[in-house]
Amino acid sequence: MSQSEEDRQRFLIARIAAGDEKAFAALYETFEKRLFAFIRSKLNDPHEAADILHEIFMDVWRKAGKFEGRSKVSTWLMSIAFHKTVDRLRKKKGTHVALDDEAFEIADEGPGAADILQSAQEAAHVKTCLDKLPDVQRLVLHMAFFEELSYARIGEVMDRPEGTIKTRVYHAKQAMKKCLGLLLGEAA
Amino acid sequence: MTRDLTREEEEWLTAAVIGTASEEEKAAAAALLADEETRDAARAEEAFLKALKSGVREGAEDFASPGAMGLQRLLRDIRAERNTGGGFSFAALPKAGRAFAVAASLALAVITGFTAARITGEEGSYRTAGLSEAGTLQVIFEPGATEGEIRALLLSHSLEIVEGPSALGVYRLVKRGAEAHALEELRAALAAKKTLVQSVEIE
Repeated sequence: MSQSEEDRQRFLIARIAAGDEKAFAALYETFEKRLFAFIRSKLNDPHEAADILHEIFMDVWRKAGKFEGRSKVSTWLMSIAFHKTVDRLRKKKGTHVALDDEAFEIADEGPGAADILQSAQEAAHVKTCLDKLPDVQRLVLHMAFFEELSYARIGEVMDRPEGTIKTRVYHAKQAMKKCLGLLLGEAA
Repeated sequence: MTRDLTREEEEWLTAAVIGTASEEEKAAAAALLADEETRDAARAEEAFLKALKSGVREGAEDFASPGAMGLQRLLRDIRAERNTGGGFSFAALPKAGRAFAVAASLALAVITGFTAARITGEEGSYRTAGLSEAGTLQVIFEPGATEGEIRALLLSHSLEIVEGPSALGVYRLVKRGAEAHALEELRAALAAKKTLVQSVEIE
């Protein structure tokens, strides 16, 4: 993203802080699709995802004046979206959604690289396997491969060190390989 | 002789496929793809990562977002909240928030200044606030005025923001090199823009 686009977004936030509805609409139009895709990457219910999107932008309206400009506007918004989505998952499941749980089983003898690649080229397989990932790993993969955020920026969004994010992406990737390999075996 | 990739090597390739790799990581990933020892494993990993990226993107782009309906719902709730007194108060902002608002406005002033400089062929037209001026205009824009409209208005009159918005939404504007008597003309010109300017006074 260009510096002038970041400046434009920061200006919009300043205007929203002053109660400008048109600036609010412009910011909504800029980020609505991206944030919705992010939420939907974990929540299958579109109505529930729309509710979270609504909550995010209500927060933006109420808290624009508290944005100190220490991070990019997109990082700030993604961070709100991340925490709201995790909170919602926690309430739905009635369990703790671990942000630092690295426990993960990686197969000693996995399928071969060619099999994994063949399976990964099936969009339905990728979707099935993404659905099976732990919540946070799925969100991290979305931020990396869809949003194309660096590990450092994902760390800002999740309020976690960059090293933790690297580990999480690595584990998510290994989990996808394992799952894709198994799916190909089932389909054969 | 070939070998598997290390975890760190996989991370270089991942960053390269995502598009966030540093120059060093890009070079390291390219070397892995070229080196006879790692070429096969690196190519397989790169192909997997590209397929994964494509699959993630394909899934995410299918979602139909709330769009204009979502915005209408938000505006309705914002207005309802405002009418019931639960709305936002700029005066209640912490100092850091106000400081950011000023900083954002000054950033716009820099952009505006540079843009104006490009148009007029002048250099260094932007100066920091606090320099002596023939006079300063205090302006409050209409809440409905967009960034683009404000920017166009300022450029059309060669005005620069030197401060604002204040807690009351006041901007201080200057026109570099303007004579004092020209300020009244400017004030009248801005006051005539009733859809954009709520009030304008000479300081």
